Amino acid sequence: MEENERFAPTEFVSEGKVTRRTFVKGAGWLTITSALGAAAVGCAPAEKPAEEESLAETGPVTDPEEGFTYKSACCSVNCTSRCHLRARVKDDKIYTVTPGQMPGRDDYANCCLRSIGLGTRTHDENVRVMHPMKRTGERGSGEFEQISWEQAIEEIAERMEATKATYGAKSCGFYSFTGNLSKLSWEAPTRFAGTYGGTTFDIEGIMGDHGATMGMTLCFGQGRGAHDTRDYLNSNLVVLWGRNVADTHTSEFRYLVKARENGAKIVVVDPRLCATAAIADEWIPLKPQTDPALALGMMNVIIGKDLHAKDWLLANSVAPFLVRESDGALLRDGEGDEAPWLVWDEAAGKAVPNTTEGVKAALSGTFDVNGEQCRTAFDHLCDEVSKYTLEYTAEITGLAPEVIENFALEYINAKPAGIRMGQGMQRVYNSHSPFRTVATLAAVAGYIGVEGGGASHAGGTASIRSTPGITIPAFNYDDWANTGENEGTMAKSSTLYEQILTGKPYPLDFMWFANSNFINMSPDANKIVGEVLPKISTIVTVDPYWTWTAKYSDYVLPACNYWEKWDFLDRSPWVFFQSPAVTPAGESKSDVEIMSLLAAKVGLGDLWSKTDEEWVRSFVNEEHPAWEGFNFDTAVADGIWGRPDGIYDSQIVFADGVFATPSTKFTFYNDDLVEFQEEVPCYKPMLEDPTGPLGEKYPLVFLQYHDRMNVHTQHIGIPALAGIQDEPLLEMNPVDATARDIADGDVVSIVNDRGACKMKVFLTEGIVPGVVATQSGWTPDYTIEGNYQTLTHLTLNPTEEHISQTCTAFYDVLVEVEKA
Amino acid sequence: MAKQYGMVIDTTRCMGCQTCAVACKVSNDVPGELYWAHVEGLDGELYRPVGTFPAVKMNFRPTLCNHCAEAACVANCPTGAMAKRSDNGAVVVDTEVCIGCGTCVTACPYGVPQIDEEAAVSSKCTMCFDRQDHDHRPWCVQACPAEARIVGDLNDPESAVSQYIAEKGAKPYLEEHGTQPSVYYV
Repeated sequence: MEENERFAPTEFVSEGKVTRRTFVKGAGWLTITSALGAAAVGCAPAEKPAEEESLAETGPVTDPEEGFTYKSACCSVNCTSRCHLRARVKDDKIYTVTPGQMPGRDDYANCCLRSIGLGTRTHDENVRVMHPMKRTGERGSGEFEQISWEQAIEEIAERMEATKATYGAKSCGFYSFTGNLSKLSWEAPTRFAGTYGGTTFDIEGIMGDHGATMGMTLCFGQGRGAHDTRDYLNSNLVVLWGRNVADTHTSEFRYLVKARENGAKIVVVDPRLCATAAIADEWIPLKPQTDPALALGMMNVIIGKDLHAKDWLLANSVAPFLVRESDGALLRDGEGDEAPWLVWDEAAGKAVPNTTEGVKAALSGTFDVNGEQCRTAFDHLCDEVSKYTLEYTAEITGLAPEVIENFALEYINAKPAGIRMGQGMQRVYNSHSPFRTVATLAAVAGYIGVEGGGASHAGGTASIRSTPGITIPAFNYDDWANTGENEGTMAKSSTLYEQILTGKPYPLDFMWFANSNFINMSPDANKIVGEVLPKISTIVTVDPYWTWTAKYSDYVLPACNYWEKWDFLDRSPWVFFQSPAVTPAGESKSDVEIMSLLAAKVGLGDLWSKTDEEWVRSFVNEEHPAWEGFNFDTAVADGIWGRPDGIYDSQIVFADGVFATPSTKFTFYNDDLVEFQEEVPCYKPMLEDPTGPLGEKYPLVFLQYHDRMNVHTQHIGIPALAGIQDEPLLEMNPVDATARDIADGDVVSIVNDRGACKMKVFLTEGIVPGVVATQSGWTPDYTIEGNYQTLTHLTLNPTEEHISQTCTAFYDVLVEVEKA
Repeated sequence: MAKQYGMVIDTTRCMGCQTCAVACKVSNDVPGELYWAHVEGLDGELYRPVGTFPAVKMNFRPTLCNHCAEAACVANCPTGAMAKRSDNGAVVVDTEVCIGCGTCVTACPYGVPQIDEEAAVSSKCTMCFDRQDHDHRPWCVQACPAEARIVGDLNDPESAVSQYIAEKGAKPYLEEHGTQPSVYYV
């Protein structure tokens, strides 16, 4: 493909084809002699063996594991799992990757096709950055020359110092994404920003995961909080809401299988029939971004039939809190953060603090409190819920009214039913709404903090037993956290483009991208390439692979992948200890080594004097009970340490009914959001609404989803995976295809005002009509023309900027599709 | 009684992730673009749900060599390169003898053997008999995230694989071919 050649740096194409590995024959193969061919055809052997020799002669075979050793890594590329991997190594080469044991959890070893493929990719010189490279042509031309590490660091330091001299150190940005979440790799660039006084970025906004955090935080007071997947063995119904566990949290899938075999019904809520639906009993194919409407419609059924959990809501939520009707404020008993909230004491007939002992508060009602008319927060929720009749909800979601009603009734009657929420439903313009509304549904049902229940977002489960009398930390991060005389500035990522384009609140002039294929994974690629990046004087990319971003950089530095370096990852109750399994490819170095070189060049060497191994050793605070019986060398050989103070049994969250919210109650009424008319969970139509004016020009909703082939972009183009899929495909319902005279396999153009992309169509009945979807992560090298990321946008949402920052609405995108 | 290595695959657990296919390919260093393990659609084309929206279903059938008791590839092999091991029942190809004529490819009713064009020999799954001989699980079994595969000796009624087959009433795929496969499906 011409474009491939255009993008290809010289080194990238000079190494030739993938070399075939040497086939290792077991000795047993040699002992097998010729056997009978009973019905010989064609070229028969000269001598026909006797019939009794129809079985192969056999003999003992050599143990095929002979000569191999195993080395560990934590798969830290940010799917939701963090699997312990074991590489099968001989002669400094990874032959395959296998599941590694998780101490204390014999049933939990896991790997996947992606991690196995990445083992082979480690040695693929066609895709690895092998040497420090300097751009020679225009940005994006793919023309680079090989330079020495010395020259690279010298020139980069010079340019960084020039930016500092002109604009200040803050104008040097260090953008570390989730390409390697192990501590040293992920944090070395941001630590450097700290020591240099540069800028780092709160990446959750631009990456499109922040809606979940906002939704969780509004309700629960914390961004994460999940039931252990094993807890679904206690469920009668498991709802996978926008969560494709099979492909995006693979290590947990087996427990869903077990839950179903244990009698739980599995329901998948998704505009696509995702792979997880293979084990589901029901697929709820709602229109994209209508999840909050479905949850509100279900609450309407539940509350309408008086099936809601009144006692739970009164005891554990803000339901009885009194709202002043004049301005929507929650009534407090006094001033200040500590002031209790007022509830209506039915016995006393007056408002009292919610902390009053034995108070029986009203769930509903209109009351007069000091001359102010007040109603309960629950009634405000009911106001919103009451709009979502079956007919109205059906119209929005595209589901049949009876499907909604049955789902609601099955959910409330399951007792208990667990919901696992996924980021799939929150990559939308009102991204804070889906998790918030679905969690509120679970609260209305009384399933929060109940075994087999919950509305879970990955992580957040207690996994460490506290040890009485121990106040020292388990980890010693003091040296790592010490940034000397300087400190970094954290900037929102949602406003990154605007900051670069306008220079406000301050300019960004030098950008360092690490663990990140920034262009491929961020919205509106044409804007990045055409407007944003040209404003940056120096772009450095540190990556193991030749990414799209690398090709737009001025300097590309070869980084070790996770098989080539020391690292450390705290995934309590486990701690990963990673050491190099193989020699780094080419001249690759670890992120710490690279930052240390740069630090030494700009006079910060004292803060960067440790080797990777020394850093890892320094993190262990051996006086803490977490390390009882710990031996560093053994832990490194095992690759993982199971903390003796860890909890390995299934855990749930919020069982005590205490939440990290200001009131310690589950919070579905937030008076801080009155100005946005979002004080209670609500549904708002898409920014790019197919039923609105833009829908006349671009009628199809365009989704990109994480599938089995990829986590982000690191697994694209691995030869061992090519037999499964070797190019991105656009999933389309035959109804939409017929209307456009498109047949299966046709090449189509996907277009909107921002960009265009060509790929082949895959017709499927497993997608909601009016929706098209492609697999996220494919680079421009694999699309027939353009890239899907040119279609997306970064539009700031005022409510979300008020809460914290906008979450990219990757799935709130309209397009038209036509035969190319 | 000699062993017969066999496998049962529970398709109700399969999510079609293809980890089996990739684990096999990489770990066995399967040549070129070939795979020894595959995933098919159980009722239709792979990843294409059957039915009409919204009443659709998608499920999967992972495949490998069936290591048949009456293997058509063995029976038809003109050179005797394709043979069934007497100690564990694995159907294996002797690449020193194989001439790559492709008879096995057409003889196998399941279409399992493929020709490695570069080496000009037949290429197929070995049931990782050498691994099993040394108490290591086959790569596809070890890697399956859904724990959908159970392997062992079919001739031992107490083995996990025999027990699972009996308990679930597992059957070989397309039993009517009469080759007596050693791979069973739930």
